[in-house]
Amino acid sequence: MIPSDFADFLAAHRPELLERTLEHIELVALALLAAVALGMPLAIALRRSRPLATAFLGAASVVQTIPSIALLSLMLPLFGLGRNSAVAALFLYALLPVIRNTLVGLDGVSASVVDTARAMGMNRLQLFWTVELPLALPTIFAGLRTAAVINVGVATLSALVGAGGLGVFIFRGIANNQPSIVLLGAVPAALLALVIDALLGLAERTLLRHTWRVATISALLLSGCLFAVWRPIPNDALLFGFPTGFVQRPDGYEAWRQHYQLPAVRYTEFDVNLLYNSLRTDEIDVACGSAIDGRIDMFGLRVVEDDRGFFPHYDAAVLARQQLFERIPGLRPLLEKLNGALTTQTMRRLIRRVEQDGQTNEAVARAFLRDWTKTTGINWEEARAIAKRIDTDSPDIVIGAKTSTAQYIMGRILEQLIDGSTGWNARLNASLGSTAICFASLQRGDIDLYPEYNGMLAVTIFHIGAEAAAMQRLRDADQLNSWLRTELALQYRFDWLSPLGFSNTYALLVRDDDPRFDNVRTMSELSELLRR
Amino acid sequence: MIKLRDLRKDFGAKTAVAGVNLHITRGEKLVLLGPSGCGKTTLLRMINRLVEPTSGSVWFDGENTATIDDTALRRRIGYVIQGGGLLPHRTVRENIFTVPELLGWSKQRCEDQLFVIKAILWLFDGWFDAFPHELSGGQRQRVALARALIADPPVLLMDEPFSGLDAVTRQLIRREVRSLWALRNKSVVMVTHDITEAFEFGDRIALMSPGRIEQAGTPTELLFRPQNAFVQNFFDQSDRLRHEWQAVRLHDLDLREDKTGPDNSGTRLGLPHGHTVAEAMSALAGDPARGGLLLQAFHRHKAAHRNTA
Repeated sequence: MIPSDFADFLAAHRPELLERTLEHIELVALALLAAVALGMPLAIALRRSRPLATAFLGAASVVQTIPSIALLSLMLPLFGLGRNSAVAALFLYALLPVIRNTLVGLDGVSASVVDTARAMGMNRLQLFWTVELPLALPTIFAGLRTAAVINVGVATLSALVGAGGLGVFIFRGIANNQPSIVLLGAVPAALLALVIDALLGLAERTLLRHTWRVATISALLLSGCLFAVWRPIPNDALLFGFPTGFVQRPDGYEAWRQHYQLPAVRYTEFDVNLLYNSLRTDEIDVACGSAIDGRIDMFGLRVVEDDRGFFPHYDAAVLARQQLFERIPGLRPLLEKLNGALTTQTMRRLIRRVEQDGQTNEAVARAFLRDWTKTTGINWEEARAIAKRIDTDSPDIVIGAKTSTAQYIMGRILEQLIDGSTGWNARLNASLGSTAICFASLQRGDIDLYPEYNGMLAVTIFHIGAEAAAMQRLRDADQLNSWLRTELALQYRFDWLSPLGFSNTYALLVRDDDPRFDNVRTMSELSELLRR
Repeated sequence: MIKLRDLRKDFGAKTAVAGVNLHITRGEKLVLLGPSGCGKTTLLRMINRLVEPTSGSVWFDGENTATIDDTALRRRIGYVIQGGGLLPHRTVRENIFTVPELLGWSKQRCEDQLFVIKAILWLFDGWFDAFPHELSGGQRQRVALARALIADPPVLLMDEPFSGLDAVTRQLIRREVRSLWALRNKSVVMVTHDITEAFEFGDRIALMSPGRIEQAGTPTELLFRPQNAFVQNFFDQSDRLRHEWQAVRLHDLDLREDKTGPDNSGTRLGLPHGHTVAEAMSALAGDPARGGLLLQAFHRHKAAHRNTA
């Protein structure tokens, strides 16, 4: 990136960068402050009982080993969406280093020093404040600095639960395949870790020299600052929940707002899989989710109709390496038979079986294939004959899938269809994090094919702009598919097969029983409601 | 000044001190001497209640210490341990002012007292803003002594204060402390396992076997009138003759043949009569006549004391 571009880029994102950095600092500072305020007195109390201290340190170590994403999601039911959950998880992470280092630091104070201090006539309190604590301080600060650096890193994940912070850029960048946006979050986060570490080092040296008067004053000041920063979230305006990436997309927030002449709305961004539950539990008022998600029916949500056709097509089809079909010529006609077999209704039914009835993806895929072959009259023997195995030493066919139920089911269907009908070994590599990761894996040949959506490819791979002509192209499915087929073949030697039938477009969701939206069936009506 | 009555300390099933009676008078220098693990440190620490006795009592200036607030008690008793036990995060000045600060002295009073004590203890102004680790072992020990003495406590407790110093420094500091004017009126209880140190420092020595005091008396009493086999054996196992030379002073001896005689200045054999035999022997090296006289007198002294025992 040349310097002037870089300057423009920074200028364009400066207000949000500042806001996200402040959010990030706030999350880390709150968690650290809580960890110190609770952890240090706890450690001091634990000194009286060795077995209790050991038990507690063990428990804290277990918490430390829980993967950060898992810990965050475990906090959700307790603290709800947003800052509180993130701070709770960060607090738990910071607790162990703080408690352990306080204990170790206090234990490490030389017995003869404590002894003479007592012999001088210090009482317990004087001994603690003027001898034990100052001598344990370097160790305690080492723990605090460890906790701070861990927290700055983990806090980037807070973006997934709508707590903001620099992670917002990272996940937005990943979702839309924009490395510069990823760096916009990652680089300041790394710098922040260094700065906080250095500041704590400075605080340590200051405390050692100027003892506890300064400590008390700075603690009071810090609490004062935090109190000022702690902005209670106003409750009057509607709160929208957008999936990560939606805000930055050409077919996303800004374009949608202009299309429907909406005023700016209050919104929070987080992981798409958490949106539905947050809407159900009233933490957000309007969510932007996926039109085929089973939870729409399950949670009693309603799709607000896109009456002026803003959202482009996200029609599913199989994206494969051309090399695969050169290797196994019979495979392409077999996969093309799936054209139109999975309508949006079918897909929603399959997803519901997994998410509501608790069936496995494999079982649902198997049942679908059984019915499908019956109705379409596919002949398995014939299929096997078409795609006969040529070389027994050939590698497996690897199928990729992104992290959504629809993708898992699609992956299983493709796996079983190929495996069962051709005699080739097909293997599913599920849980690839994003479109960018799937696409890159396909380029490298780590996977051979995966289900994808046409609108997604146009936006994240071809970076189609927000201008009217481009948007027009996104809305014409046939035109979009043929354009994609040509471009993918020319640029990447990929094959874009015929549409499978369902469309995974964005859908604006509200609770069906929310009285505020009784008369809102379409986006135009929503726009009117908001402008009032 | 300090009375110990039936003092006993058990640590679980182990008895560290088993019923000790001892009286330390005002200004007396008492040494607790004994092999390691005999409970002498525990006994010392019961005096300022760093260790609470299992039974028995300690009386300080006519008061039962169990009835006094322990921190108030400790502020009236100086305490010096091996290595000094200085607070490593505080400067020498802050260390010395520990007790005055606890007593709530004004800054001016602290500095005045420091001015007095630094002259006595040969402390240098350059040390005061240094941290303990920047000083040598001997210097640290002097600072520790200053810290113990600055509030002018009537009693000083010392636990192996000179251990961990090199031999030369050790002897220098020991003599310096012994002759300290500031200690003149103070009762001092010192714990050591070193007989030479004990004889050089103590007016009276309490020799301990595990848990009890076997005999308390002057060095000569312990050497020449042992009350039991333990006391006898304790010195036999060590270099007895050397300790005898260290214990006996010229004024104890009958120096009939000494032609110089006790003169007006109170010298004997031309030496101060407070000299120990050991000191006199090294001073008389190269003077076989007077050296012979000294040895004869010493042996007569020994024989006489053994007979009376």
